Amino acid sequence: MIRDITIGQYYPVDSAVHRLDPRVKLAATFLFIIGIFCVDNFLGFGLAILMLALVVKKSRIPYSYLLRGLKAIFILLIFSVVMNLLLNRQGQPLVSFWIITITDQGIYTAAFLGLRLILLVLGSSVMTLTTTPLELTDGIEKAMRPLKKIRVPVHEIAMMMSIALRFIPILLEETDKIMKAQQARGADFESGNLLQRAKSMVPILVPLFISAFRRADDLATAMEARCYRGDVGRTRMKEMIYSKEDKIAYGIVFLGLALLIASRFVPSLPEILALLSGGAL
Amino acid sequence: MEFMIEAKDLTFEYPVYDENGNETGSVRAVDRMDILVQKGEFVAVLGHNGSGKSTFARHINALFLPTDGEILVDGMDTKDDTKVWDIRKNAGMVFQNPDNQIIASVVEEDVAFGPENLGFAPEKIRKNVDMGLQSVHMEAYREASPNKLSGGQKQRVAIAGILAMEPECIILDEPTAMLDPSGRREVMETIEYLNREKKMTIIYITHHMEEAARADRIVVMDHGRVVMSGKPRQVFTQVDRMKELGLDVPQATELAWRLRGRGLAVPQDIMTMEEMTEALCRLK
Repeated sequence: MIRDITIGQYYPVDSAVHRLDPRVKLAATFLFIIGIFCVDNFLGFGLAILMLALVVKKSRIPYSYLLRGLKAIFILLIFSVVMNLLLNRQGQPLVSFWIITITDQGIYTAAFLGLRLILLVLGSSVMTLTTTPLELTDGIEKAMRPLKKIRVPVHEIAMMMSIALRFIPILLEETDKIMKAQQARGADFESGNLLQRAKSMVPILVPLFISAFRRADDLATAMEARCYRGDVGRTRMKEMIYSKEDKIAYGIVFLGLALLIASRFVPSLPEILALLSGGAL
Repeated sequence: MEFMIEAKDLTFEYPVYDENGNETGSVRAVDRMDILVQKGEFVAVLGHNGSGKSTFARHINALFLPTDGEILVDGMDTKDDTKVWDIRKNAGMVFQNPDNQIIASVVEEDVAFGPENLGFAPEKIRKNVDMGLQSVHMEAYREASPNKLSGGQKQRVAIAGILAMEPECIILDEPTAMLDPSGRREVMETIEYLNREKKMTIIYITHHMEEAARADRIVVMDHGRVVMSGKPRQVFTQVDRMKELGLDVPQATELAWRLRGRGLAVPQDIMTMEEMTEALCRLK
C-alpha cells in the first residue's frame, strides 16, 4: 500500500512538459492552485479539469498512473465530502430524515470541495511526476535566490529537500523490512484500539530513526568526499535559462488563470434562463 | 618513481567516552604506519575488523587528519587547509553502502554532483558525466532512478561519480561487501579496467581474498600497522601467518596448504582453481 503513493515520484519519460524549466512548472502549479480556489461554478471546474487533462496528455503520463496518487488522500477526501454534505444547513433542504439534512447548498459545497482537493493533488502530482526532485529544488533555489540577501539559507534548504525526496523510497522500504522483522518475531500491528496500535509502532520507529541517522552520517561523509562545500563555487550541469518554449508556457499559464477567474463571472444556466425569460416577458 | 601516496609515521587516535560523556582514554586506530603507493599501482588492503584499514583510507582524502605523522597525496600534505579540495578531487572515494552515497534521484545528476562541486563549466560537466558513465558501462541508465538499480549497478554509478571528477586515484572501502556475487564481479571488472586501461591508482579495501588476489600488491594491516606487504602470491603463500592475523587465503591456496600438510607435493603458490587443477593433474 505504501508503494502506491505517487506524490513526489518522478515518472521518467521524455515530453514537452518534462523539458520545461522547473520554475515554469512551479509557477504554473502555484497559479493553478490559486485558480481552482477562485473557481466557484461547474463551468470553471470543467475548464480546470480540461486544462489539467491537456497538460497530462502532453506530459505522456498515463491517466491511470496519475489517478493512483489519489489513493493516498481517499479517506480524507471521503471524510471531508461527507462532512460538508451533512453539516451544511444552508439553502433548500432536499432530503431530511432523523438528524440528517441534505441541502442543495450542501451538495454544491461538498462537490466543489471534493473537486478542489482532487485537482489540488493531481495538479501538484503532475509537477512532481514531470520534474526530477533535483530540478525541482534547483528551481526553488533559483526562484528564492533574492531571499539570500536577507540571509535565508536558500541553497541549504533546497539541498535538504532534494535529499529528503531521494531517501523517501529507501526509508519506506526500510520501514517495511523492520515491520516484517518484528512480525516474524510475533509483533502485532493490526489488532487493538488506536492507542494500542500507536504503541506498537514504537518498536518500528526506534530502529528506523537509528538507521536514518546512520545513513545521514554516511551521506554527509560521502558528500564531503565528493568536494561538497555548500554553494561556494558550485556550478550546474543543467543551467537554467528560459527557452522559447518556457516563455510560451508562461503565456499559456497566465491565459489559463485568466480563464479560470473569468469563469466566475459567466452566469450559470438557470441564471441565463431567468435572464432570458425576464427579458422576454 | 612518483608516488601517489606517501605516509610516514601516520598515527590516528580518537578519544573514548564513558556513558556520562567523560573522556576515559583514547584508541589508536592507526599506529605509526608507513606506506608508499606508486602511481598506477593496484593495492589491496586486507585486515580484520578494527585493523585500521578504513581509518587509513579516510586519511587519503583528508576526511580524517593524522594525530601524528603525515600523509602526502600526490605530493600534497593533507594537513594543508588550502589543498583539501585538490586532494579530494585527486583521490576519490567509494564507500561500502551503495544507497548512502548516491545523492540525487537521477543517475546522471548524481554523477554530475562531484564536478558541479568543483565548479567545472556546464559543457565540461556534461562531457565528464558521459565519460564516467561510459567507463562503467552505465550509459543506458543515465535517466534512471538509482532506486531501480541493482547493488552492483549502484556501486558502478558511484564509481562513475568519482571518475567525473577526473581523479588520479580511487579509494574503495569494501565496495562489494553488500553485493551479491554478480554485483561483485561487475565492480571488480570495472576496477581492473580502470587500473589497466586508464592507468588509475587503486586502493582497494576488502574482505574477499579472491578479489585481493587480483591486485598488484597486497598490504595486510593489523592493529593499525602494516604487517605484510608484497605480491599476492608472496602474501598468500604465508598461510600460517595469515591465519594468525585472523585472515583467510583464497580457497585454492587453502586447499594446497592442507594437501601439503597431508604430505602431497603440491606447490604452495597456488591461487586459482585452474592452477590447482593443473597441479593435481601433475600428481599422477
